[in-house]
Amino acid sequence: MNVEMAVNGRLWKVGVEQGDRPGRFTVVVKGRPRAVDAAWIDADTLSLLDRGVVHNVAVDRPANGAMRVGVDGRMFEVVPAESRKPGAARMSDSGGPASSVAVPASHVVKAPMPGRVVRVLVAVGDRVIPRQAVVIVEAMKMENELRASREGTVKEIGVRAGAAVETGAALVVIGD
Amino acid sequence: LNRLLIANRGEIAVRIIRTCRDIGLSTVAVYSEADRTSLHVRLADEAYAIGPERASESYLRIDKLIDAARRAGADAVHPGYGFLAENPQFAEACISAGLTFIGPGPESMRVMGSKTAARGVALGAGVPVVPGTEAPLSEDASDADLQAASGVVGYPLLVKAVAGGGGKGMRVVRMPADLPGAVRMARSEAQSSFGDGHVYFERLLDKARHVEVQILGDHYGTVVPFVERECSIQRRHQKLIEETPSPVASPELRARLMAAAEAIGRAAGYLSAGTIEFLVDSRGEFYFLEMNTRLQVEHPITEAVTGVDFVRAQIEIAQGAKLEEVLAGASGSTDVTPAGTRIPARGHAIEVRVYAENPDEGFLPWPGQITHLRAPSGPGIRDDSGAFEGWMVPTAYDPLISKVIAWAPTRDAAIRRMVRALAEYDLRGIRTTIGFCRDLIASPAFGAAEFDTTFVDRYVEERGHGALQHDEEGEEIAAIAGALCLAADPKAATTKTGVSPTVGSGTRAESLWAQRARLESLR
Repeated sequence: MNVEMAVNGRLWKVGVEQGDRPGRFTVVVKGRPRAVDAAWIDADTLSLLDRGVVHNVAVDRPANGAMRVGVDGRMFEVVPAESRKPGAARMSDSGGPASSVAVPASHVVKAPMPGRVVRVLVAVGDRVIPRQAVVIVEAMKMENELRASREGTVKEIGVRAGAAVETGAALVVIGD
Repeated sequence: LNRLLIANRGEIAVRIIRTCRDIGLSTVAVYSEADRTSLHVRLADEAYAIGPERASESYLRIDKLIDAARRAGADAVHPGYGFLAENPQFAEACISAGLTFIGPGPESMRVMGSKTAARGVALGAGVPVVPGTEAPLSEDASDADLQAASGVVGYPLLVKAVAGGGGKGMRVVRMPADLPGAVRMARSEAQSSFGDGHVYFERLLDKARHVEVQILGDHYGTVVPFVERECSIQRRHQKLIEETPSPVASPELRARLMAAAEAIGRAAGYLSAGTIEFLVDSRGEFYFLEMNTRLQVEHPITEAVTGVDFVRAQIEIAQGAKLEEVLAGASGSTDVTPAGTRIPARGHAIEVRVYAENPDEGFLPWPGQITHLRAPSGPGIRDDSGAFEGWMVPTAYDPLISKVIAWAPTRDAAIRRMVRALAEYDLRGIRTTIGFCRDLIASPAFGAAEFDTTFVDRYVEERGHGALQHDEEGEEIAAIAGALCLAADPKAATTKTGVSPTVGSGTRAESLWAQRARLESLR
């Protein structure tokens, strides 16, 4: 079986063949086969012996992000190739009012973590410049200033002071 | 004393409970609705609910804490750090309720806890201070008043909470235009964190190191300083990595810092554990910055090099023990330490703070559920933690979840040991500072001790550029692991240990327990 995936944004093709004994695999990378012994410690923890060399693999599937694969404590973002394109296509196919007016992600200031809106610093129609603070969100006792990533005009404000917000919530939409 | 109430939560509550167990004191925990399952509640002898998640309705409520102490029949209260630890009204309320407060007296707490008054004490003791406004700014100060006060101090400056600590209620201002907003945010943060919204201005010294001296004082006027801690590795004015001794303090500077700390402690009539913070500039001149009238987060590194248990020392001092007895007992030596002498430091210790934060996103808080947790251990390693596998890290409190302390005979060995420990630290489900600190500590600049308080900001910038470089070998293994996870039928891949991986999240928790039981039986 061949698997394609992006690791930190770069495409890798890996062939995997089950060996004669459980946990033994022949893995083909860059056209070269190698023997790999894989022992699952739990569903997300893997002990790999790559031609005898020990690697500890820790798969992290955070609720709010991409799958990350830790190799000996260093983290890599792994995105299976097949799951990327169809996902993006489905979004545009489904239509709906929100996506009919395409707003590029970089124009929306989103909540990077769950928290509470302390203050909205701009109003609809305001001109903003890059790195201008637009919303203050409190999380874990810190007030965090969320800033505009581009110059533009505030088109929409999705929250009010005091509101609880979840990760990814659209707070302020900035247009031209 | 028989029963001690810990007016705190998280790792520090766990740490205090441990010493109490060691010395035979029974412990009383308090908890908000968000903390019912937290480790400190489960490790204590008794635990009492004190209200909703919001700290201002629970951990900051003096009436509820005193009430819990009464109900439990506690005879002493340890405030930990943060929350009410530096609030003199809380210390007074404990004393009037007949409880022994484990910490300084309310008077010295009031003087030294006010950053502006403490600067006066330091000047009186002959110790230079960082230039700043002499009194807190009036709460109804107009923007023009603020600008006038800032003109005297000069830019860049720091807006600092008079009652502050832990980097909260603090803002850097480089241009007058940013001043009103910074003051507003510092006040609001200070009010919600400390219940006191007063702020003042202080000059921001460039290229400065943050060095501090731990002191202990007893009821008999003895004040003993300990070897300094280097705390320049900070982000958002909050420490990330500390070490002791400072790799750049000469014996002469060390002696002067310790003497200055002792003089300030004596002038303040200081009782119990406290810390005198200094800024050391590039020329080796030092200035008093502030005093923390409580146990510090980073106290374990001083414990590592001296053998003193500071929580135990605080409890013994509160019971009237003389410092020389406390220190003689702590060192395990039969020699009685004469009052006023120094406690010798052995080796080198480093602490890394594990925060639930994402270093790739400007250290934004990153709460969530910890799905996997295996803490490091082995020679010279200590993990002071409030976390456990499955724990949902609450969003309402400080994101510090654990501290790793490495001790070794030399700084180089301590660095290697810390890198080893952080590589062992398996914590998943949330983002933390573990990987970031591991890379930072392994960096040549850290090894060479070439840093000041702006080190982390510069390191983040360089790392941002470095992230474009590929770790080819690591990526290859990640790709193989990813392929195995996606392609291999886990059941067919059952290994010779007999552990089969689980599929489907619904049965995961149960299956993990079953797996672990099977692993245990194989030992």
